[in-house]
Amino acid sequence: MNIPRKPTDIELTSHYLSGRRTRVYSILGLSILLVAVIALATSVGSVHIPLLTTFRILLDKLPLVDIAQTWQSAIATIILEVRLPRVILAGLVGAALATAGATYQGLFRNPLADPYLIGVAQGASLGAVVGFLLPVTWHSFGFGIIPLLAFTGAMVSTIAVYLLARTGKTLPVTTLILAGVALGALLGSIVSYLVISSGEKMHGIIFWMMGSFSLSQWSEVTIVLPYVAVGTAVIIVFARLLNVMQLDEEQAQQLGVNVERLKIILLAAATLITAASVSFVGTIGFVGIIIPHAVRLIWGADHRFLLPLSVLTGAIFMILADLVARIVMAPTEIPIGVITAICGAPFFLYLLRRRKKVIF
Amino acid sequence: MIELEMQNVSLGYNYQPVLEDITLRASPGQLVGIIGPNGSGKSTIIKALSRVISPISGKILLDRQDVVRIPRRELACLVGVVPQMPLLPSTFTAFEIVLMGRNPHLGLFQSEGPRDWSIAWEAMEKTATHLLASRRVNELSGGEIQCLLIARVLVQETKAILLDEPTANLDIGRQVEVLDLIKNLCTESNLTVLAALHDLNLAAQYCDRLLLINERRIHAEGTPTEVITDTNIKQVYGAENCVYTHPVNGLPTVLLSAKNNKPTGRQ
Amino acid sequence: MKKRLGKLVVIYLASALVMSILASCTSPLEKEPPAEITDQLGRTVALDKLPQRIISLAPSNTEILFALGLADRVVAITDHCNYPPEAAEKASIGGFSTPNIEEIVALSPDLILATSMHEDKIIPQLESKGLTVVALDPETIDEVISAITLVGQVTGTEEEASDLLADMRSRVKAVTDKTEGLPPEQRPSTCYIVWHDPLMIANFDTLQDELIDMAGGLNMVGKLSSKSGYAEISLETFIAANPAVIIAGAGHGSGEDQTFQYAKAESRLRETDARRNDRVYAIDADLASRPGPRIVEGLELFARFIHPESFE
Repeated sequence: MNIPRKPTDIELTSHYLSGRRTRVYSILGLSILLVAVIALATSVGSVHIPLLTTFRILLDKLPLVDIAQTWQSAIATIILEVRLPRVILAGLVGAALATAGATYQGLFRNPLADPYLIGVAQGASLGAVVGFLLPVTWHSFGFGIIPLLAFTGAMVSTIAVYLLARTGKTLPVTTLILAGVALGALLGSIVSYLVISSGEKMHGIIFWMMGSFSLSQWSEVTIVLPYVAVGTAVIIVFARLLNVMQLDEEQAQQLGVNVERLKIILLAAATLITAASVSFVGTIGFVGIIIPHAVRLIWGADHRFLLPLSVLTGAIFMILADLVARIVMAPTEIPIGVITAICGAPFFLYLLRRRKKVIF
Repeated sequence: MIELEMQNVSLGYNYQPVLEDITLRASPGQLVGIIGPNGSGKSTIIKALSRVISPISGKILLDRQDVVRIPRRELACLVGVVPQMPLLPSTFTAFEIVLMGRNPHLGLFQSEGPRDWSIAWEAMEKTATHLLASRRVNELSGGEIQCLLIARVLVQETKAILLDEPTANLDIGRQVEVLDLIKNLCTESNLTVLAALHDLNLAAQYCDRLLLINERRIHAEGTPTEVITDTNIKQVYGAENCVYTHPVNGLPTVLLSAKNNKPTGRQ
Repeated sequence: MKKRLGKLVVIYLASALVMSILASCTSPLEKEPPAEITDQLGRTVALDKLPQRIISLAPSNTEILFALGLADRVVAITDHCNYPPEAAEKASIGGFSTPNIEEIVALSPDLILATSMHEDKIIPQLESKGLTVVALDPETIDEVISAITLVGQVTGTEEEASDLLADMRSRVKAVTDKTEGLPPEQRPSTCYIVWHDPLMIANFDTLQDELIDMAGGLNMVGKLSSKSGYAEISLETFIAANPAVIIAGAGHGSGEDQTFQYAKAESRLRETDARRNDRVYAIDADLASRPGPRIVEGLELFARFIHPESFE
């Protein structure tokens, strides 16, 4: 029998800390993979553009590099203004949803939690539907009022859920879930009613709700990026405390965690990044609940690794899913929610069969 | 070295009082035991002292300072708790669970380092749980988990330790081991230790002072000999004539017999 | 006796002559429709008399009825029937796809003009209540002409119908005379955008495709998708196709020209020939997609957009 030796260095400790070294290497590996996937997705699309041309166009954009233009400007427009922002936005949204999902699952200690648990999706949908139905079109910042209204809807519904669930100075987790589900159901029914009575706009609304990156542009990336970057950074800073939160709240308090303050911070950050994503691309399901679980299955539940790995895995997954959505039935695009579900579910089942570890 | 104090504290849940007007004090180097029937409020006192619940009235002081004023992280560096039946996630190894005891000593941006691992390992060796280091909690027995929790509180390196039924799931050998360990810590490191115990014999053997709680108040307070008496036991527990004297060290011992009758005259 | 008989014969002949003269001078109200017709969904419908109470279930049908002078015989229309303006005075029986069956029945119509959209559910329901339903489903200009002819027959307005069709045919000819023989090099690449998010264009088998072709354009963008009808295409395909003329369908009311605004403002389309030469046009979507008499107006507008040098 192996007599355990006292861990005096990283190597021995990693044995007791469930796979620490592989996780560090995995983060590096996935980062490189992400760059490769971005390059791949930018090179492939419904219009055939030779690989060399794509690289030339991208390289030309780097500072201090200048390559003689041998391509049509329409091709450059496609690469730099249609595909690249779309791919970047897909990565951001994938990262945001996966991180928010992991955070909600950790916060609620519930494997079924996903970013839309407390009504963010329904609130955003309601805002967007109102935007569709209003007889107003003013285009601010190049993308119209729908993202603005969707974001407002998402934040308002979250604040409403928070106020409903708060008891005195505490925010009981089960009450929060119940309030979120109830409000979400109410908002969802209002949305359904509005959709049915929207007449000829129904197609546009339903398309929005299914989620799509089809008209993504740089102006959207510049808005979403700061929200997602800051929100994710905040959450990762509290990763170790999120670990301690996996004990019950009483133990966490006794171990020095200000549980109520942590709940509010993490809830706010996760909701913010979800709302920012949903407002611009609609409600893409599945990513927020499955990616964190897949990451846990492969790399364990320590949030200091779970969160960064979810960021990377979520980004890669979403970019690839969008790529598939774009090219399978080109030039028509399949709604991305369909792709995420079709691709994700079997993959997860496969992982579950292989590993059979306890993941929650 | 810190002193824990409760001044006229009333505690309850949902405004239903569980304890009324409790005044107690625990000093460094003393193992104070809290005994009493089921549901008398032993756990509640521990939760109040660790600021998990707030008193309905009265003050809880740590070295003369109101606990409410102490930031939670600092409080956790001063007071450590071994809870009774806690939820432990199976996604972490036993070592990682013990390592969480280092949390109060780590800043927001810090992570555990070699020194923390060393402290954790030594604590696990002291509690004989180092063999379980890479196992998951769902594979462990109740007793093993209990020892892990004690290791965790050792890792927390606090000046006061509160224990809620620390020996509930342990076999008699382990019970003695664990309480020996705690008692040693208490006297050698001058810790302030408060333990809720349901086993009156262990309480008598190990505690320097006892608090007997019953019907929302302190029924008796003092040395084990003063507290564990026939009268007290009968009044509080309803069991008659079962306090004897330990043949070796003269401390009170509770012995039960099936029909609960004893011939008149003490042995 | 002979004189009396002779007088009777004269009176008899005279009355017969008068009656036959009267008969030949009857207003269309007393004419008979054909006993049976086949409508544009292939249904055989039995007709017994000229309809006096007509309900239209589609805006295109309403336009046909009013253009044939049947305004006073129309008792109800849908919410979306917005042309001609006089139609607004008529009662409404609901929406395009959601007509209220009870209201229809309560109005005791003797003819209902439906479309293919009503084929599955609405028409069987109406027929089960014993109502006469004729369905129109024109998908090309020729079929619009057949539809108008059919309505003329059913309602006894063949004269008005042939007048209307003569006018329509001459207007169409005015366009096709100039565009018929145009070789592909002289046909600008044109596309008709239905909606911008998702980007949907009119592919083959649509009315707009025919309009583009007849107006002397080439629906090149549409050919990039193998899906017939209205096809979603990706933005990059659209950019790469580089259309020379973009026609956007616009609705009514403020904010309904979103698609046109998009086509003009989307910065990623700035390199297309259409934007560079400022050849992005808006057209009332009703004119371009409603299969009624005004489709020729749509054609004329298309011709002006595509070949401004030949039409004004």
